[in-house]
This record gives sequence, structure tokens and C-alpha cells, in this order.
Amino acid sequence: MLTPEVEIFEVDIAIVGAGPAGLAAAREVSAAGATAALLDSYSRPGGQYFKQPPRAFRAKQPGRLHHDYLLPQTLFGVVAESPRLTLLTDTTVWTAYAGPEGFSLHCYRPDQGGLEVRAKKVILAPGAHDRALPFPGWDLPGVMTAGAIQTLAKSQRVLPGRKIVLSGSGPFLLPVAALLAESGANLVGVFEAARPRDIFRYSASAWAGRAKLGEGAGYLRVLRHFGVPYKFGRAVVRAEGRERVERVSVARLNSDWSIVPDSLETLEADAVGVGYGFSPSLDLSQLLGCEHRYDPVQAASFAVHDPRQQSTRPGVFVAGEICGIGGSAVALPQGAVAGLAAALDLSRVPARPDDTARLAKYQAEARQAQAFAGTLNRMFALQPGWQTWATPETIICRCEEVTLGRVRTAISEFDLKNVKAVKLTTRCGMGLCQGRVCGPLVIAYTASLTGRDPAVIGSFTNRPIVRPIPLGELAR
Amino acid sequence: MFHAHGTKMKDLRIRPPFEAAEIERGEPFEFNFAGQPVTAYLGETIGTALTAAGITTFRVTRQGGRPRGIFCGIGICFDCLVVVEGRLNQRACLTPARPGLEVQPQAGAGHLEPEFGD
Ligand SMILES: Cc1cc2nc3c(=O)[nH]c(=O)nc-3n(C[C@H](O)[C@H](O)[C@H](O)COP(=O)(O)OP(=O)(O)OC[C@H]3O[C@@H](n4cnc5c(N)ncnc54)[C@H](O)[C@@H]3O)c2cc1C
Repeated sequence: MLTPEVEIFEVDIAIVGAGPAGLAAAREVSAAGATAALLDSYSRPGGQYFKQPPRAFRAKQPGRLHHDYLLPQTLFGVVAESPRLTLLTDTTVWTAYAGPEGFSLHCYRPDQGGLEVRAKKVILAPGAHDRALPFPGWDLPGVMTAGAIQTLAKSQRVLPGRKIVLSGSGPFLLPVAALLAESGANLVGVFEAARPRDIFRYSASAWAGRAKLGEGAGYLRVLRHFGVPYKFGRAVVRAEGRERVERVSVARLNSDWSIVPDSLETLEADAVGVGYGFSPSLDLSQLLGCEHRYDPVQAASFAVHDPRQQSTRPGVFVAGEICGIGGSAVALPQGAVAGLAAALDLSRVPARPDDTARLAKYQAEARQAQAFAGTLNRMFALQPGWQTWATPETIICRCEEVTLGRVRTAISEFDLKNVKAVKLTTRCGMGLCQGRVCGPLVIAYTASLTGRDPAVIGSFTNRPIVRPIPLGELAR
Repeated sequence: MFHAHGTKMKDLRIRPPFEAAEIERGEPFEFNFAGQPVTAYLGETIGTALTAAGITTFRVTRQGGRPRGIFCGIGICFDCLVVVEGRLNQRACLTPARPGLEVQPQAGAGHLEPEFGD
């Protein structure tokens, strides 16, 4: 394992992430005549939205795998056929840095030697992961993210349990619920924390997203058809059971998401999916020194970029969820802009007559999709009352088993002022997930306990090793 | 703790008539988890096969001995760690199941320790 060999691969452009954003970027890079390596940790391209079933599964009706089946197939086809594109799956970028000639990305490949990708430009399209909010019992087996349930059901074709409850906020709950209902699951209920009157304050600006609204209405019809209750202003705020979840308490919520007293209802469930939007994967953009900005609506920071998707670090382009949560409708055109702009910035790529028009078209598509995503983000924005669901005994950092009580005591006892200090004092965020799960929670708690603005209290990540890798890899 | 709850029930795989895309799984086989045989189909992850069998606890935590299983399902959270053929810290949600694999629940870890990996 300690072989010193590291394979070196040189390309014009390195693209991290083969989700919608990375795939669209690759298509444009290739069309412009430049070369790219498309790197992804998973064994198949597609990212989250275009996630494919495993190779060994055969679909007789593949068109029914995805409501938008042709689009990903076309992109996979471009990547497979273009002589200028190299898809490297099972390849995790664990560190990256800029040198005099360009960028170096170090990759870990299980059961293979190390790989260093050298590129003149980098496009970061690493996507996002579900954001879960803590409540007593959220670490019991059987409680998982809505995305975990979707992944199990959609690409692995297995149900998470026999009595399922979904709870969270935002439009993503709907496709997960519809998928479960159509897969024969016993879905006991879907609980959306936001209340209709808070959501529909923004309905006028939702017109821009008619098509997506139509998709949502389709999911609601499926739920009605299967008799699945979909309730607003409610959330799972407690899970109980021995060794695994056996029942949950569903509360009615005030508009700030605090619990309405005496409103708890108990439901039996052996699987619970929670999802309160998504957290962007900012590790590589932070490592490469890109600037990020905190967005109070989304309660998260995102990579700052110009209209060509270039970050504040020249040569580093960013696309998709790390620029703001917007789903594939935003990720695809942003990826296209990033791919085209990065390729055009290479000295050896000659400009084509229609480049400017193409760029403008993708930019317009991205802007329009972003406007609608912005409306959705406001409709389903987290409200601070969620911070009252956990008790002092509730674990906040799942890896290091740090409770909310410990976080609170540490902040007041040592007069901690920022997230890094909380991390060093409590070990929150020091586990293998590197704070990906508890990061947003610790930022929110620290902000409210210190009375400081979440925009100024910092974040956890900023590690030279952005993904855990075997130690042997470091010795190469 | 590492056993199925409610044995003798049919597994949790989605099958016709609920299989709109008419997916056919790969070949079935067995591997071992905590010394017990578990059925899997080619293409499934260890986490999927355990979930299908009704097994939800994949490991216990280092300090509190708390049961843990699948949480994020996409390789981000490192909650579903198992020991595969003696290798620690393998994510059950991403690691493909293979015939005859020896998989053990992991006790502890969940942070960057020297024994991580190979
Ligand atoms: C579990 C889950 C399910 C979702 N399902 C839906 C859905 O059904 N409908 C919907 O509209 N939206 C869904 N989303 C939202 C999703 O974020 C967007 O729809 C869309 O996939 C975003 O595209 P992207 O290209 O920005 O990122 P992604 O699609 O997330 O792709 C990012 C890719 O980058 C790879 N990557 C990240 N870091 C590294 C690294 N260091 N090295 C190598 N590779 C790396 C990842 O493996 C991933 O494949 C889901 C999100 C999640 C987390």
C-alpha cells in the first residue's frame, strides 16, 4: 500500500463532481475543443439528481427511472464519446492547491494507486448534502435524511422500513414522498414545517417557476391518490425506541417553528426521513481560497462568483449547489457557463462565432432558474424555533457525541465567540464527517447563544485534507 | 442489537407490481454480518442488504455505545461504519456487497484515528 507511485494526469480543465453542474461543464469544455478530467467519488456519474441504479441492475423500462430520463442520458453519452473528456469515477479529490503552472488535485482511488490531476483551470461542482435538524432521538437508527431514503428507494430499490414518516421543509420532500408511495411503502405522513400563510406570502414571485410548480403538483396528486397525509406547520420533534426508532412525536409549529404547547401527537414508525434543505460542500472552494458569503435566507455560506461563474480565485470556477441551493435547473446552466468560460480563458482555445451568444443564453437560463430557486428558499427558510426542539442531552455532533448542553456550557463558561473556538473546546466537528452534519447547527446555536451575526462567526472547515483517506495515502 | 427486528417477514426490497421501471437485480448471494448470513443481490451496497433484511444497527459509538446505522446514505456522514474483511471505517452505504464478505459491526471510531483505512 505504501508504493510511492502517484500517477500524473494533465488536462486543460479539472472538473470536480459529475452531477448536473459538472456534466454540463464537461459538455461545454469538449464542445469548445479543450480537454477535461471529470472526477467523482461515486462509481457512476450523475451526482444526486441524475443518480443511476448500480450497473448490475437492469431496467426493462429505463424511461421510468427518471421523469427527465433523456437529459442525463445525453450528457452521459457526451462524456463517454468525447475524445477530449476523461471520466474518472471512484476518484475522490482530497486536497488541491495552486502552483505556478496551474492547479494540482490529489485524488484517492480505493484499491488503486494515487492520482494527481494537473490542470490550468478548475471547475468545482461538488454539490450538497441534506441538512437535518436535531431533536431528541434523531441519532437513533431508522432516523435518516430524506436524501438517504430517496437513495435507498430510487437507486437501490429498497424501502427504509415498514412504517415511514417524512419531516422537513422544502419542495424536496415531495418527490421523496411520491417515490415511496409509488413503491408500495406504508408512508404514514409527510410533515412540512412551513405554514401555508408563510409560504404563500411569496406566491406572486413563484410564477417564474411554473414548470417546477407543475412537477410539484404532480407529486401532490400521487400522495392524494395513495391517501398519504401531507400536513403543513408540523414537524417530527422527538423519536423514541430501544436500539431503533419505534415511534415519533409530531408537533404543531408556530410560525417561528417553536412548538405549540400540548400539540404533540405520537405516531408509530420504524423509519423517519428528515430534510431541511441542503448544505453545500464548500471544502475545496475554501481550501483554494475562494471567497464565500453568508446568505441569511438559506442560513449557509456560498461561493462568491462573477457572471462567468469564476470565483474570487482566478482560474477556479464554481457551479451548482455551492453557489446557492437551486437544484438541477440552476446547476445545469451554471455548469454550462463555467465550462464554456473556463475553456475560453485557455489561450489555446480559439473562440467560435457563437460563443458570446451561447454564454449569454446559459447565463439567462441560470438567472431565471435562480430567481425561482430564491423564491422557494424564502418560502421554506429555516425559522429559529427549531433550536428549541433539542434538549441539553440531545447529541449535536454525531461523530464526537457532543451534546447541546455541552455546547451551551462551553460557550458561556469560556465566553466563546466563534465556531472554531466551539470546535476546539467541545470537539464538535472533529469527527470523520468533518462537521458536514453538525456545522450548520453549531453555527446557528453559537450565533444565538452569543447574540452575534452568523455571518461573522465563521465556520469549521478549512482543512488541508478535505475528505478522510487512509493514512497510507499521505505517505505517497 | 445487530439482528433484524421482526424476523420471518418478507424483505424490504421494492418488487413488482411497485417496480415501474421493471428493474431486475443482479445475482443473489450471501455475505456475513456479525456472524450471520445476509442475502444481497449484485449491485447492492452492504447498507442496502442490511436494510432490506431489517437490520438497522451497523455499529455502536465509541463513548456512549449508541447504536448507529444509515443516516445520510450518500457517504457524507460516516455514521454507517462497518469493518469489511478487517478494514475499519468502511461506509456501508457506499461499499458494494460481495459474495462471502466478512462484515463486522464497528465498535468505536468515527473520528480520524491512526487505524483509519487499510
Ligand atoms: C441525497 C440527495 C438527493 C437529491 N435528490 C434530488 C431530487 O430528487 N430532485 C432534485 O431536484 N434535487 C435533488 N437533490 C438536490 C441536488 O443537490 C440537485 O438537484 C443537483 O443534483 C445538484 O447538482 P450539482 O451538480 O450541483 O451537485 P451533485 O448532483 O450533488 O453532484 C456533485 C458530485 O460531486 C461529487 N464530489 C463532491 N466532492 C467531491 C470530491 N472531493 N471528489 C470527488 N467528487 C466529489 C459527488 O460525489 C457528486 O457526485 C438531491 C440532493 C441530495 C443530497
